[in-house]
Amino acid sequence: MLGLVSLTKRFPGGQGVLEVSLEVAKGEVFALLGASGSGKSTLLNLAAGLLPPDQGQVFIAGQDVTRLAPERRRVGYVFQDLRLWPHLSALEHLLLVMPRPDRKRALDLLEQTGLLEHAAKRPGQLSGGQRQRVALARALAREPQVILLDEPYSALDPVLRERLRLDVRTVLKEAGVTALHVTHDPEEAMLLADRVGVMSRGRLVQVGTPEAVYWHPTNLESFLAFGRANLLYRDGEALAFRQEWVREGGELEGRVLERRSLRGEVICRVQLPWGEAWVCLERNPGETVRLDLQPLLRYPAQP
Amino acid sequence: MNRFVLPWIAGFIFLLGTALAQKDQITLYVAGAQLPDVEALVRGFNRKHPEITVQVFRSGAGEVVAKLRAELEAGNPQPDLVWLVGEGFFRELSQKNLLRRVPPTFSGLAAQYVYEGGRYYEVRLLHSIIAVNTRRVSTLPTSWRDLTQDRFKNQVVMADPNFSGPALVALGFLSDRLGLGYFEALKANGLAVEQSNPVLQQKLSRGEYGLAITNDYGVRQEIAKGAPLTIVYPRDGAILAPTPIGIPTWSKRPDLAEKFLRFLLSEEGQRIFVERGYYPVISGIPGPAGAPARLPSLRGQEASSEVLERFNSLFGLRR
Amino acid sequence: MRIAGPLFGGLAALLLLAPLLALLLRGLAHLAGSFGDWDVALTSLLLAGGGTLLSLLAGLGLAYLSIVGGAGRWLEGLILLSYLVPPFVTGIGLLFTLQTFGLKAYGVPGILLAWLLHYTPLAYLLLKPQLRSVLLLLHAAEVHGVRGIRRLKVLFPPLAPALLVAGGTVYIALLGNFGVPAVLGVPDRVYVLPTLAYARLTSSLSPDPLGQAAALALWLGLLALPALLLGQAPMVEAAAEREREPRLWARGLLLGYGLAALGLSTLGLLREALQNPYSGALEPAFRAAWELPLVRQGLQNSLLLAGVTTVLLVTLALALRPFPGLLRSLRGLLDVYYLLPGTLLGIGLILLLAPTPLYGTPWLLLLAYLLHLSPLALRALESGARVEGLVLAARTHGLAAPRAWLRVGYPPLLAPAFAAGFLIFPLALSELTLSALLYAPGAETLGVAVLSALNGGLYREAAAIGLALMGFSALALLGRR
Repeated sequence: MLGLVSLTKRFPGGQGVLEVSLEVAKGEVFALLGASGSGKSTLLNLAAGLLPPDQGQVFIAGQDVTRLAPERRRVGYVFQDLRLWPHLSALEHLLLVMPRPDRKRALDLLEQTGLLEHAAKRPGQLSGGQRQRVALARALAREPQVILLDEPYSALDPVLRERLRLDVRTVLKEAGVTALHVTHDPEEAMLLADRVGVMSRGRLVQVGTPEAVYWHPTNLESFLAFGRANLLYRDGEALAFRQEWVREGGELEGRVLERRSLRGEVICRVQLPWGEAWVCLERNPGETVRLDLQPLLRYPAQP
Repeated sequence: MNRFVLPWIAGFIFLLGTALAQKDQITLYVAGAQLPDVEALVRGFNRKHPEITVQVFRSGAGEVVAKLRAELEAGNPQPDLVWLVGEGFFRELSQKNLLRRVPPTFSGLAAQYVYEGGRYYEVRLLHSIIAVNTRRVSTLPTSWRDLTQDRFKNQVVMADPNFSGPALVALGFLSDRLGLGYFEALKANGLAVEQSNPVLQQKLSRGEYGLAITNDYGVRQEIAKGAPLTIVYPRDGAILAPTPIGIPTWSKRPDLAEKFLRFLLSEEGQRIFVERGYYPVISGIPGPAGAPARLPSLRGQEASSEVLERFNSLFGLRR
Repeated sequence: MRIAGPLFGGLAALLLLAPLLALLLRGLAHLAGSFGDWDVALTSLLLAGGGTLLSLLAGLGLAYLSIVGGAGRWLEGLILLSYLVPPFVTGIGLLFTLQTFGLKAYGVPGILLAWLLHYTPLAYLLLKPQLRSVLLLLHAAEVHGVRGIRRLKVLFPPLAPALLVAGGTVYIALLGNFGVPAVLGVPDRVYVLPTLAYARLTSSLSPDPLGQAAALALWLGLLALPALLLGQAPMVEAAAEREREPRLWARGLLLGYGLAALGLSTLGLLREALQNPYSGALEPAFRAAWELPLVRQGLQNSLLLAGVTTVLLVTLALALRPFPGLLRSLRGLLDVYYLLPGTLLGIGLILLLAPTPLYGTPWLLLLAYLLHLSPLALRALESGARVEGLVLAARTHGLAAPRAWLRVGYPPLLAPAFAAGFLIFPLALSELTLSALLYAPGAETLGVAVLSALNGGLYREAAAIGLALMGFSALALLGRR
C-alpha cells in the first residue's frame, strides 16, 4: 500500500543522508523505532510530501506520488505537535478535511474516538488526550490510504498514554487502514505494530515482527532500540543481553550490589567479571549469584 | 494569490484615474493672506461659481516662492494662480514670459495697480505699520526711528523676513531709507524676530511684546476680536507692500483662473477684503472700519538677498 | 527562472530604494557646501543624545516602578498615552501649559522636556521585559549572598544590550523628530537637521533648495547610522511574571508621573481651546476649528489616507505571509524607511517624483506613508502566530494551498493583523514629517492643518485640533491586549 523505493534525502547542513526502501502492506500497522535524530520524522515528511526527496520514489496504492503535492496524496497525518487548528471545533476539523463533508460520518468518527460530547469544543477547551484523539480522528476523516503517526503520545502522561495507544490500535484496525507509526518507545511498537523497522543514522537497519526484532536483533542498534539493555565489553566484543533474559543457575559468578524494584519485578545491580549490569533477580545486596546469560548477543565493539 | 491582489490593483488604478482626471479645479498659491482670509474669498467666489473648486497652498512668501521654484526646476509647476508679497519673483516670471496677460478692463481700478499692462495685478493693499499693545505701552511711538528708543527696549518684535513677505518688504524699505544701521540699533534695543506675523500678533495681543513691525490687516482683525491693540501709522509713512497676483502660462485652466481674478477685483470681492481689514484697490469702496480714509504710505520693495543675509547673520537666523 | 529570480529581486530592491538613491546622488554634490552647517549637525547630535539619556533613565525608572508596583492595564495605559499623542501636539501642549505658569517652553530645555514626555514610554516599553528578567537574576544573586555594590555586576551586564537597543531606537526617533523642534526650537532659533532641511527647502535665498536639503538629509542619515548598526542585539530572555507583593508607593509614583506627563501636555491645550484669552470667558474653539475648511479637509484626507494605508499594508502583509522568505527580505529592505528619519524619505521622494504627474497629488503622500509604515505591518505578521504547521497539516489532509491558507492559515493571523492596523492607523492619522514635505494643495493632512493653524496664529483652533488628535490617538490603546 505504501512503498518507499530507494528514497534518499540529504539532511541540511551535511549531517548525513537518509536512504530507505520500505514496503508496508495494506491494513498493516508498521512501527518505525529509533533514537531521536535517526531520521524517522524526515521519513514521514517524505512520505507525506512535505519534503521533496533527492532521489527515489514514493508509491501509495500502487501509484507513484513522488511528484504530487501533499494535498493530492491520500494520507492522514497525526503530527507530533498535533497542529490542531485553534479556531475550529473538533467537528469542524473533521468536516474541513473530508472529501465530501458528511456530518453523520464525522459524528460517527468522533464517537469511535470517544469525542462525541466534545464535538463542539475547540482545541483550547480540550485536554491533552482529547486533542490527541481529535488529531487521530482528523487523520481518519480524510479517508486516507495511509496514516502517518509521529510520536503522537510523547507529550502525554503515562496513564493516558497507555490507554490511548491501545485505543488507537483498535481504531486503526477497525478502519482497516495502513499505518506508519514513528516512535522511540519500544513498548509502544510492540503493542501497536504488526511489523517493526529500526532506524539508525538515516537507514533501516532491521525490519521484522516485533518478536523477531526483540529476540534476534541483527545489530547493536536494533538491540538497543528495545531497551532494558546491558552492554559489556570484552576482548573487542560487545556482549549484549537484556535485563529480563537473565536466569539463575548458570556458570557466571556475580555479586549483588543493589536491589530496586521496577513495577512488579525486582532488579539488581550485579558485579560481573566484565563490569556491572542490571538484571531481573530477586536477591539482596551482598549475596553471590550464578547467572545464565543466554541468549547472549555478540557484536563488534564500537569505541 | 491573484484573487486577493488583482481587485486591489484594479481599484487603485481606478482611484488614481479619477483623482488625476481634470475637474473644474484651479490651484492657488498664496502668501500675504491668512487662512481665514483666503477661505472667505474662496467661499465668496463659490457663491458665484459653485462648480469651480479652488485648491489653496498658503504659506509665508518665502516658502511659497521656494516651493514654486522647486516645481519649476522639476518641470512640473502646479498653480493656476500665483499671489505673492513682493514684486521680484513676478518680474522674473514676466521676463521668462511665464505670465498670461489679462486685459485690464476693470472699472474703478487705478492704473498703478495694473502691472506691465495686465500681466499681473494688485487686488488689495497691505501695509506694514507699528502695532502697539496699549496695556504695555502708554506713550506711543510716532515714527519708525522711535522704535530704537530706550523706553521700548526688549519690547519690539518683527516677523522673520525669510518667511514673511511683508517683513521682507519692510526690511527692504527701512534698510533703504534708514540704512542697515537702523536694524543694528533695533538689535541693540532687543528686537525679537518671530516666525510669522500671525504668531507675532497673537503674542503681542497677549502682552508678550509691547510693539511690533507688522501688517495692518491682521492687527485690525485682532482688534475686532477684542485684543488690546492699536495701530500707529508712522509719520514717515506706512510701508505699502506690493502683493501681486497673476496667471502663469502653464495653467491648464486659465479661463477658471481669470474668473477668480475677476472676482477678486469685483465689488463683492473687494468688500470681502475690506471686511478682513485690507484697503481696497477699486475706487468708491470705503476702507476698513476704524481705519483712516486716506492712508499716507510709501511703496516698499523686498530686501535684496545681500541685505537679507546680513539681517540673518545679525539675528542668528538660519536658512 | 534561476536567473530571473534574483534579477527580478534586484530590480525590485532598486525600485524600492530609489528615493534613497536619488537623495544620495543629489546630496553628495552638496555635501561639501553643507559643512558650514556643522553646528546644526552638532546641535542635533547633542540634543538627540541628551534626550536619549534622559528618556532611558526615566524609562528605566518607570519600568522599575511598574514591576515593583505591579502596574495594571490602566496604569500602564496612562503611561503609554503620552507616546500615542503625536510629538508635535505634545510640543504645542507643553508650550501652552508652561505659558500658563509664565514659563517659556522655547529652546533646548523645552525640546528636551517635550521629547522626554513623548519618548519615555517607548524606552519604558523596550526596557520593561528585560528589566524584569534581570531583576530575577538579581534576586537569585541576593539569595546566594551577593550584596552591596557587587549587585551591579549582576544587574548591568545583562541589561546593557537592552539599554543599547532601546537607546538606539530612541536616539533615531529623536534625531528624526521634526514636530517638536519645529514648534519649540525654530522660534528660539534652535535648529536641528530636520528643521533646517525644511527651512532650506522653503528658502527663497537658496540657489538649489532641493540639493541643499538633500545634503542635510544625508547628514541626518550619517548621524543615524551608528544606531542603525547597533541593530537588534541579543536580549535577555523574557521571563515569566513572578508573583510579588505590589508596592503601593511604586504605584503611587507611577500614577503621579502619568498624571504629571498628561497634565503637562493637555492642561495648556485645554485652557487654550476652551478660554478666550482676552476676556477669560469660557468659549470653546472646537466649533471654530471645525469650521476651518482646512481642518475639515485635513481630517477627511488624513482619515482617508490613514485608512487606505492601513488596509493596503495589512492586506499586503497578509498576502505575502504565505511566502515568508519574500516577506522577510521585503521587510528587511523597507525597514530603512521606518528606522531612518522621515525627512530622508520625504526629500528623496520629492527628488525622484517631482517631474512626474504623481507630484502635487495625495498619491505621493500615500506612497510615502506606505513606504514609511510598511515595516510595521510586515513585522507584525512576520512575528505573529506561526501558522505554517497548521497550513501544512491542512494540505496533508487534502486542502489545496490557497484553501488551506484561507481556512486555517489566515484565521489565527487576524489578531496580529488587527494589532498592526491599530498601530498603523493612528501613526498615519497624525503624521507630520512626511506630510509637511509632501502635501499637495487640497490634500493637507491633519498634522499640516494643526501646524499651519499654529503658524497662522490660530492658536486656539490648533489647540482644539490637538486635543481631538490626542483623543484619536488614545483609541490605539484599545488595540492593545
